[in-house]
Amino acid sequence: MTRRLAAPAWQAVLPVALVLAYQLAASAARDPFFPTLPAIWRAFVTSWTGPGFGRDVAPSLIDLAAGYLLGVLSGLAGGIALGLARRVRAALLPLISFALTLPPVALLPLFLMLLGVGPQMQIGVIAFSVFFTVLINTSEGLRSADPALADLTAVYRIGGLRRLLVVQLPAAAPYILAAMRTCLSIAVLVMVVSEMVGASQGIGAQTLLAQQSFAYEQMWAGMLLLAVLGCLLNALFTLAERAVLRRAGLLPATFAGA
Amino acid sequence: MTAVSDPAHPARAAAGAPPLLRVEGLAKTYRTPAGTHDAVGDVTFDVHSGEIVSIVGPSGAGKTTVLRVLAGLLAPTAGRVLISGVPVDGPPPGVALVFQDYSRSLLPWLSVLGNVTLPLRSARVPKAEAAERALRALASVGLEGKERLRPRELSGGMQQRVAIARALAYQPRLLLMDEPFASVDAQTRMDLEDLVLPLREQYGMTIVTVTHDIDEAVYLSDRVVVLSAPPSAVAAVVEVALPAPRSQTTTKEDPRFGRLRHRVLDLVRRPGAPANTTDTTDTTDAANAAETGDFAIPASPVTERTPQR
Amino acid sequence: MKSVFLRPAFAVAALVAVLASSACSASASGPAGSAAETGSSPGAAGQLVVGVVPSLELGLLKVAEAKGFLADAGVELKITNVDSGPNVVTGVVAGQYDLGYTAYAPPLLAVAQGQPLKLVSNTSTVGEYGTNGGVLVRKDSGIASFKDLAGKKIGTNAPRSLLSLTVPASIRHAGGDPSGIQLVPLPFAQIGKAVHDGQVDAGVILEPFQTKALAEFGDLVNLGDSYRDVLPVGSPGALYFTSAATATAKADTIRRFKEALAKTADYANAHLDEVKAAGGPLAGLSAEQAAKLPLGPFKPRIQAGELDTLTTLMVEFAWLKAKPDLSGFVG
Ligand SMILES: Nc1ncnc2c1ncn2[C@@H]1O[C@H](COP(=O)(O)OP(=O)(O)OP(=O)(O)O)[C@@H](O)[C@H]1O
Ligand SMILES: [Mg+2]
Repeated sequence: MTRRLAAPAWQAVLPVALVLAYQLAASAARDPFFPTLPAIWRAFVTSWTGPGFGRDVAPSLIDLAAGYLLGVLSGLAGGIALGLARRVRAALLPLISFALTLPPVALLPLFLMLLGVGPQMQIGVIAFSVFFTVLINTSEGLRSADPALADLTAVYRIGGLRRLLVVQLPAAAPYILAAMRTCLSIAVLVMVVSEMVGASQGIGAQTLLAQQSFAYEQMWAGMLLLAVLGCLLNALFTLAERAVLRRAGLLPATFAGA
Repeated sequence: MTAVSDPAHPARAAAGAPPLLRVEGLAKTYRTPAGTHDAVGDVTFDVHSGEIVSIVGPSGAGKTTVLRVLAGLLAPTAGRVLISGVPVDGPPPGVALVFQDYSRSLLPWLSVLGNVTLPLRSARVPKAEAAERALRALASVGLEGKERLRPRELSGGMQQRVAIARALAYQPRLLLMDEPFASVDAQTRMDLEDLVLPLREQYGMTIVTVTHDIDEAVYLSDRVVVLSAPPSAVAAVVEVALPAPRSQTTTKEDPRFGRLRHRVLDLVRRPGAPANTTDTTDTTDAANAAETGDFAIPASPVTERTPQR
Repeated sequence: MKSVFLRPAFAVAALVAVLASSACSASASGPAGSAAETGSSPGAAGQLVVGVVPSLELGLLKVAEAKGFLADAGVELKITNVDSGPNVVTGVVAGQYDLGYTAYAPPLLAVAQGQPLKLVSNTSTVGEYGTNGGVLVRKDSGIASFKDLAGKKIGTNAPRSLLSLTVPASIRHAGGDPSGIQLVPLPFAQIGKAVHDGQVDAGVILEPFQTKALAEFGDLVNLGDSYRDVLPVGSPGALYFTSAATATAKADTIRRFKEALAKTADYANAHLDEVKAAGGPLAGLSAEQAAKLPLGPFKPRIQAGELDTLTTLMVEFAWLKAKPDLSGFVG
């Protein structure tokens, strides 16, 4: 109990210490490559709030949401098909394992060729980066369900969509949600990198511009935004995941969390 | 056909009809990476409509295995199971099973009510009717007012009762139960036993239950099937001709109850001991003979048929 | 559950770790630079590590090696390919490379941001109209001049490449309004297809990609040479540069390299075919392709004033807030 309560405090120690250390080092070094925190913060405000929000942050977030949802939904659909069809799974598993090892970032030129310039390319790459992880975890979650549940549905002749939606998917939910959470961070990363090619707006495009202009404050502001975005989305997802699992009775209702 | 007149055996009234459940020469060999295991050797018995039959035997005797084969969850290695004359080759309709692992068979993401109505909704029972049947079944197992809770919020015994209520609400023609009262307190156990007894009158249910509790087997059953150690065979079928209605006080105080209890206990403890109990073929013959009336039930309320060489 | 909350912490930690590690490498370039001349890092005595963006012009270094100009000067080069000009600058600033070779935009932007870079030698110059790259559009696009590019979506190799500056300048030069254009970074190899497919309205391109794209897509046409449009013939085109730290630490080697390069330039201007033949493989070109490509005269020495047009444009198009003081840079 005490460990659980103390955890958030401990979790804050390292980031705070590192940020302070950076500030000390940066103000001592006076190197334009390492702007001080106030300078980064000023760049953050000018780049990402006001008109910058609508021009760069909003389209990025829209692409992220669209790509992520597309990847999760198609991954779920494919994962269900694989999880329920043993033979199909056996036939496709080598291919999927191979696809899992492909870094989506390295495939950017291919996506550019296939999907062309525009948000559809970003959305496609993000969806790709999410698809296989969700796919494999969904099918794994379905397959590793307690055999007692298969007995239950067999004896009481619970079949079709009801079996899938009421029994199998909820049983696989912890797997699926964990995959979705992992993919969220990946999707943020891929979003940024994908915007460095074929995009004139967006967080990635602006960060690339800043890097090429040697506008280091802006570059760091971009990274700061990504870090904040990553943490924020992850925290939100974790809360949502907990709520879902708790509602599903897969977490004890009394669990205090951190 | 002495049994026909026995008020404790209403099923025998229809003795001319084929049995609701017929188990013929059932054998099950498990194949594991470690090798094969002959769990069930040769099990044969019949259950007539409206009967309550208990299966007892030492732990590991293959009781759960037999029940899973009856439910169509497991294919036998040899032999066959007929329900109303139809061979079982998958879960047959109208059969409910109360699992031994009751907690694993409840869905934690559904409420108690959701768990009980799930099979009904799947059987296209309208929502309102399903809920009504579920609430009645829950009330009968003493869980009124708990329908909105999650299984996790209930004690082990209460969860077991939810699993029983789910089977009851399903109103099966054949109810299979695998040690259904194993984790409830003595009082609840008696209550549940007394709940089961009238079910056959109320719903015309036929019940096959596995139990470790000899008292319970004798108290509930029309007949007790005693399995030997694996590879198991039917060591004996003990007829329980105790009068109905049965009650926890009068029935269990009946001296005939005590004798039956003693007899079954002996059989369970050393099912393979008498040389003449191991030949299962004879068991089958004996059982069949009894059912076709060749075996007269003596004046004694206890009919014990021990296989003969 | 704990790990869930540690994740953001790790993200921040990773960010700061990146900061810290690059801080180390960058600060190493200062004091460690002096150690370099006497010993190991990054090159041994007389050796220079050069970070380059691959180009036909690099034939100059090959010719310098082949004709013994470098050997006579006691200089040995270790050439490393880098994917973009900004990364060449970063490598030089970090002390990873002694010398960098790129077009002018990245080092000028870095100087404007306070990085003390030093010009070592100019190499190529802006050539005659039509030899400095082009802008591809579809014939049926209705775009007939740079003026018509106003408000269009234009593919470019990098948002801060010189082409991304000369195109809007050409639009303005032709009387159009460049403020509404949208520059989309795309690899040169994909510009032709992107214009052909209508993904962008126009695309800046260099040889050999230009010839290839025009041959592959018959519906494309070259709008003109935006480079020459805004920069006079003979303007500085690309350069070798170093960091202030390396300039001090390896002053002697760099001086000898500079002299060798000047001699090579004199020779090369009379034998451009040899430079093309040597540079072709470096830029991934076949001998025939290389032979056909234009290569401007080399001009090692330039004046700070010659960069004025460029820095003026940079300020006008908001690449810079103010014109940088280039006295330290050109030296
Ligand atoms: N899936 C299986 N694979 C291999 N062996 C099994 C399997 N299920 C059961 N067995 C073995 O078969 C034998 C009978 O098991 P079963 O569960 O039917 O016994 P049981 O009579 O129900 O025991 P208990 O009274 O302890 O519940 C045991 O030895 C068991 O180890
Ligand atoms: Mg068992």
